[in-house]
Amino acid sequence: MDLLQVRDVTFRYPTSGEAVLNGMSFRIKKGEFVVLCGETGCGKTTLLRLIKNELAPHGERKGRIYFSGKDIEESEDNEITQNIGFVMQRPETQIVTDTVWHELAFGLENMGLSTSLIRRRVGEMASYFGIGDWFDKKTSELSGGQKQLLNLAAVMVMQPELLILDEPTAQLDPIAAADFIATLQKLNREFGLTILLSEHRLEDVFPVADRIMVMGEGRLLCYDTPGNVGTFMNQNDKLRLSMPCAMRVFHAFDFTEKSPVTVKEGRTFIEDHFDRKIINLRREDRKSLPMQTKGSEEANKESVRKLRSKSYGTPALSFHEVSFRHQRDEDDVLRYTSFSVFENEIYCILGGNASGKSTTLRVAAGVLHPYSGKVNLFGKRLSSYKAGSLYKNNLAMLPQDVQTVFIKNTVREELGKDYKQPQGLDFDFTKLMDKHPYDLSGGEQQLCALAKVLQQEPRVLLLDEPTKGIDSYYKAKMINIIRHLKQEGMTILIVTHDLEFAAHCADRCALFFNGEITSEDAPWEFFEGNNFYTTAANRMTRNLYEKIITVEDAIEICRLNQRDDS
Amino acid sequence: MNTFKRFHPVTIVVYFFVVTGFTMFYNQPVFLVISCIGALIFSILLLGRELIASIPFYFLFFLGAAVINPLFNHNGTTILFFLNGQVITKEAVIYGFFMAIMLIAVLMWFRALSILMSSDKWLFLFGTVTPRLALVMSMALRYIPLFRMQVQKIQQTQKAMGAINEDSYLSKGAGSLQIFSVMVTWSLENAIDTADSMRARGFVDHHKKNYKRSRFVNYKFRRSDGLLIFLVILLTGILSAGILKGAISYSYYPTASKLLFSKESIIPYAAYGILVLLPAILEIKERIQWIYYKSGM
Amino acid sequence: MIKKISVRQKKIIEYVIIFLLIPTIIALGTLVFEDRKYAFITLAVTILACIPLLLTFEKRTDSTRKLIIIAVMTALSVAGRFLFALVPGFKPVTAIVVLTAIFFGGEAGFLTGALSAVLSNFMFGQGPWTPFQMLAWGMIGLVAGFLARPLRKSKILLSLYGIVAGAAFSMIMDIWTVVWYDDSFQPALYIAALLSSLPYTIMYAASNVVFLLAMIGPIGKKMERIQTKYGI
Repeated sequence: MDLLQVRDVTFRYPTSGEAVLNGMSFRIKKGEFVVLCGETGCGKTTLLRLIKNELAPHGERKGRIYFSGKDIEESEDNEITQNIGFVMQRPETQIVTDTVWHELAFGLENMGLSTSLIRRRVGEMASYFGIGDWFDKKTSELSGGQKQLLNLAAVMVMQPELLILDEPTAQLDPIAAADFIATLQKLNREFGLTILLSEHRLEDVFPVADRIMVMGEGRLLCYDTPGNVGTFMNQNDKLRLSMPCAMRVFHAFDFTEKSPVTVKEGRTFIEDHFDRKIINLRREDRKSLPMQTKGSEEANKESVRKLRSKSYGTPALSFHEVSFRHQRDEDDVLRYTSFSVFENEIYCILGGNASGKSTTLRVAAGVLHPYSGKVNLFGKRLSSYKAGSLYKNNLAMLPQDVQTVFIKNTVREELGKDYKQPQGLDFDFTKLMDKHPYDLSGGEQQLCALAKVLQQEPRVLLLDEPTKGIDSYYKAKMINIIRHLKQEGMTILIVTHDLEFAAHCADRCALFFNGEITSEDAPWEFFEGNNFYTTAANRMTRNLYEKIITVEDAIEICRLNQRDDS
Repeated sequence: MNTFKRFHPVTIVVYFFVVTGFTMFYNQPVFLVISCIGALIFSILLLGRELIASIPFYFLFFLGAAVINPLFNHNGTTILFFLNGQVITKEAVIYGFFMAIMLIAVLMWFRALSILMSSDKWLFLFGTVTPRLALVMSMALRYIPLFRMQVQKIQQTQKAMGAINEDSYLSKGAGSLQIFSVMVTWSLENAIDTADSMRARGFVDHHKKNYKRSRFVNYKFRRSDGLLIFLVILLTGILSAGILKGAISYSYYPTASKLLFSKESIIPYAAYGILVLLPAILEIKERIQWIYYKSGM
Repeated sequence: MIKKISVRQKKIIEYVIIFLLIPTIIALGTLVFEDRKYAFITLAVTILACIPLLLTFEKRTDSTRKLIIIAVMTALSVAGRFLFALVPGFKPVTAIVVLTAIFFGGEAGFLTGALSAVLSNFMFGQGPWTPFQMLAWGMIGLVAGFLARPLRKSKILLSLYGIVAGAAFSMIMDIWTVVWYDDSFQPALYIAALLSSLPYTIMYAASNVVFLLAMIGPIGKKMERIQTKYGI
């Protein structure tokens, strides 16, 4: 039975001439899990909002949308409001009230239910979502993942039949995102909840989806099972990059069978179709730094020094037993943290949420001050720099929340009148110049903020989660820009939980845990050494090949091992 | 101090309004002293060591408040001495002393109230009268920490961009002003998301027909609440009767009257004493019970 | 037609409060609290004066947007107190209240003012002074709502209003201080109170002017932007 039917919907915003949606038609059956994907700006959000009538944007609209056979525009009652749940991207801004229990009750209050009924439903939902422990907390005390889970629970108490989610995991770290997707899967499997989810990080959602809807320029390009959409997505340069790792490897070759989707299927696929003649991409000529282990420190020192002086040069930024805490009576966030970033190096710090990565970066930027230890920039104490000279030609930071960079009304004002684009920044801002910075898409905001920060002409650039909330197209762009900046001689320190991104651009990766760097190494050594905290490509090729960390690596090693008969 | 916190917000507020009402508006010296002792014991139980830090403040406040009255108020008949040609009377000194006690007592009671009544509980009370306003307050309370966090983030980012410097007071102020201006944009922008989230969950403007919002009450009025309120009303009745009978009446001017300690006056004093010590009695009772339970196991 | 009746009903409720309830409470208060009748009366009247204004909001057919704007503005004024906490007297509350009133009407201004008082006291401590702050900031907003048009046009008038509002706030709060202290209104004590808080008042009035002038332009633009972007 069709729960949702979209019939020939066309939509135009009042200010722009072009149609954002152009004759969209599709059906969703009851109990299906549908993932909507497509590059940024293809009209995904507009489509989802049109289905949720209360959030429909203003503009000219043609075509009809039916929910359970009823036209959503014509039915005035509250029934459809309750039956379609909607969760948005940003965890913070969707929360309405100050306490968790009130947030859960909010939708039910709007339905006019009695206190005893609300208590029952809220209690049930809190137990199911494991919210019981923080039921009495203030909403501001929750982590990003908890906030998004609360947003989901606050919608689920209204017992919707269709749940629409607009990039719900874009602002979450990978662990929280995977948890969130797992919860959705559980709701779908156990309760037959129909889900329509838009997403650009597809690795986690493809395995749980029944069907994938691919959109482009306001049209429905493809609507099929995850295994089958690959052929289509592979033809499009931008979409190809967002496919799960197993599918990308599969589509790099010409096989006629069904495409693998999960890491497990990908492994079987490689085992079945490729030899293991060559198991290594021979990167040993590129020197890596031995891991810093505490016990053997003395023994290693000499070799470390040699290596450093040879292939790494002088340190540009270094931490010497730095300790930091926010309040005197709180626990340390950084505990005797020591590491060095060498000149012209890209150094990636990886680690879970709230591990202190971001704090490390802000200490390095000189906006937070450690209570003990030394931070040196080009051999000079960071604190001895004057603000004027430190942030001009020396150090610059791109923060995690790039909206904090913008303080003017247009991009033109932000970048300055006679803005000269730096060479490496391969992006055209001319179209965006008169827009308000907040009106740009996530990826555009990121690049615009980077452009502004680069005007400080830093020698050391600090990046805090530069891939947060942006799609794979902008991610690839970001990787290119970072590589280019390195070529021009810049030293770059990146804090990220995006393992694929780190695998692509880092010279060295470090794991930050419990207030200190616990391991650091070249990316292929680093990820090969980790068993769980590693990239999908590495997981897929583990024990088959060695030191494969990116999808490109995986494709290359498979190519080298192709069988003659295939 | 969990015993009193567990009561229904109405119970807590009724108790505090009665106690602070008498403290603020009935200035009989013995009453003021009783109230002040009650407030002090309650504060010790509530705050413990934290109270020590505020003792200097209370002391200075007390001193200041006590001195002001004789300097400005020249009523009274018993002249003590002259200061700059102004008469200082014994009555004014006494009155100033007790007013200072009153002020300290009220400050301590309200501090205790702030600890016992979280914003949730206040919102519940406001909500019974005006649910819409309570919702607005709840939303604002949700925004305040969010905004403070965002301000901090913007400050750090802008500092690292060299856009604001903290070299002088003036430039720091100008920087803060600019950040505040950015915050206005940011918060209005994000409020649109909140509005969407509200509408998506069925929040409708009032004028739609057949729309009635309900209100989820997270507090239960229990038997113990009823008992406590009954007790408060009973004690209030007893001591009001005592006041109206004139058994304990007192006047500071023109001549400070003598304090009456008769059989009749004992009853209102005792009633007020019990009233003021109720939270402490309940707390201590519970603590003793716990010791008993633990040893009995 | 229906609307008119409800407005009339509202008026009746207001009149009942103003002409019946207030005198009754004052009379009762004088009887019971003989010594402290003035302190009691000022507090009672202050609370009662806030009630009709707060209640009208309940019956209004306001949009969700206005609801949120009051919440946002209130939160901004409270959060602003922390941002400028280092400079004594430098608070954006009055400026935010006035601007809200200018752009969204006197009622929104009153509510923003009154709620700012309650909510900031959740952090700085509630007390018998809360109703007085509510009324003082609320009235500053209400009056600004009546003067919205001239205030929006003339920066001089706006600055003047900022100064007057700053002074008025101190004067109202000091009346309360004096009456509450010894239950009479002694001019000498009142003047002393005003003088002792003068540096603070000057700082406060000046900060109002600074905030108002700095924000009237940008805030207008921002409102416009929100309105065009979301077509409300």
